[in-house]
Amino acid sequence: MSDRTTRLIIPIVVVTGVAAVGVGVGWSGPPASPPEPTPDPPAAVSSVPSLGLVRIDYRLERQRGHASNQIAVWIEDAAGQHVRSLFATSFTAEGGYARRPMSLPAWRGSARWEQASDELVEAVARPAQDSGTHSLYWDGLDEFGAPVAPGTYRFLVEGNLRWENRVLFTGTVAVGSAPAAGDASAEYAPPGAEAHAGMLAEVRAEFLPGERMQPDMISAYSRGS
Amino acid sequence: MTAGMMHSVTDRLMGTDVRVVGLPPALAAEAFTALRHAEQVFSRFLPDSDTSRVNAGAGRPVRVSPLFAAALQEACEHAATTGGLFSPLLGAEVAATGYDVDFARVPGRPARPLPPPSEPRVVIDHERGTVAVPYGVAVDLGGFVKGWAAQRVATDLRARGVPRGLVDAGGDVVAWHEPGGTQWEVAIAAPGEGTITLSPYGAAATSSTARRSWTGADGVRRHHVIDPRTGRPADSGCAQATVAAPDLATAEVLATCMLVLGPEEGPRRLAERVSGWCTVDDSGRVRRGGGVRA
Repeated sequence: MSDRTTRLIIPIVVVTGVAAVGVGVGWSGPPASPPEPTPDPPAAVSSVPSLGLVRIDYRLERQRGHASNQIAVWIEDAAGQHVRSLFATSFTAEGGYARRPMSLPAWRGSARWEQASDELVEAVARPAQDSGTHSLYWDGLDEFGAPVAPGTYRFLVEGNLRWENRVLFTGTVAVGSAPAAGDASAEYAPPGAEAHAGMLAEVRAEFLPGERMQPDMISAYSRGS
Repeated sequence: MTAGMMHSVTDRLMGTDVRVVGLPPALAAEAFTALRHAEQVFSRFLPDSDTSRVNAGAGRPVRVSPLFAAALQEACEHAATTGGLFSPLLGAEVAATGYDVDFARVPGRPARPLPPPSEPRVVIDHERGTVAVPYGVAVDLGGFVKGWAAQRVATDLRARGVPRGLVDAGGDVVAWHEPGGTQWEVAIAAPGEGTITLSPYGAAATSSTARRSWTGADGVRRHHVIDPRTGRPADSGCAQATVAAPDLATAEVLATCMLVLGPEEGPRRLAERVSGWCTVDDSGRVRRGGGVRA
């Protein structure tokens, strides 16, 4: 019999009497004062008015093998200043760059990720995605929760194709009062990296004026704890 | 009024962030008082908690609160209905990983040899108010009791006529609303993984190998979800499992079982017992079923 079976514990439970505790919140005397109300997590609901939503679409074809499938998506202003990190695969976002310094260097440089707070890491880091077409939404707020001014913004999607071979998609989209859209062009690095192309494609963005995040209706997030 | 505009209060207890939404301040205070009391009773790290005293009892009957006896009995019932895949008696195995102190101090701690397997006899005497577990066996109701206690709060408030509310115990969520009221939408915390509607009441819990994971003194990566079949951290290929069920204790138990069984066997064995499920395997592949929508 394997070790997996021999360790299985099903307790023999001997119960005498009936549980005396009733249903109730008043288990321990009078309630204490409630803690001060705190704002909801920014990802759940934003009450700050913004110009609208930018939807960023891309198609991902997951690659076999190690040191691939790392992706980051972020926004910069027209001058190239970092505005907001939207998504980064958790291996890199949670510190994997220490083991693999070639992981998403453009994003880490833009976001100064090595100095990111724990809260920001938690907000941006997510598991690697399945193959398929994905959409991310930027709510028009910067990393401090302030609405950005109307103007042209750069959307960037970086991917590690295989070890140090990377692709960086860059496009622009006008954020203001009118609908707008933009495609992105790809740059591969280092020379020869294009031979590994195929992981990311069809990167584009669309500005939806006046739209707000659907998560207006999201009440909570279920996660491990 | 949308759910997001309702009054929300957050506090840190039971080792996690607990949030109540939609409750008047007095009821929110009651809820936090109850949950704070549960932390005092069930903590593995408070020497005077019922859990610590029972684990130190080495087989002798130890006087406990009715709350502890009720929770342990219900947890043991879940152990029976899951064939032991969920167990409230893995305290020694968790401690062997190095997680025998508050989690903030766990990274870098040495792991210890596993205790020998055993078939524990648990004696719960509600009349005398005592519990006994054998020497070498340790109760750990940590994750379970978080959901169990939050569910009790929600059940009580519903019974008292509170029309709607939500209790979020570190991502394990129970919610209810009045007939015709705005439904509660719970998103699974990763992009594209799905949402669950809790209407008119329901619960969702997530078990994850990513949270409460650490690197030990030997450089080995470990996490806190123990596979009772091996006594070691689960290694099923499942990184995260979410389950929706009518009550949060059941959701918590079955999410743990799904993580232990893995992204294929878990849904195959448990899908009929839950109202929705979602798994993320180690490569990032998402599977979902039941009431979990993309």
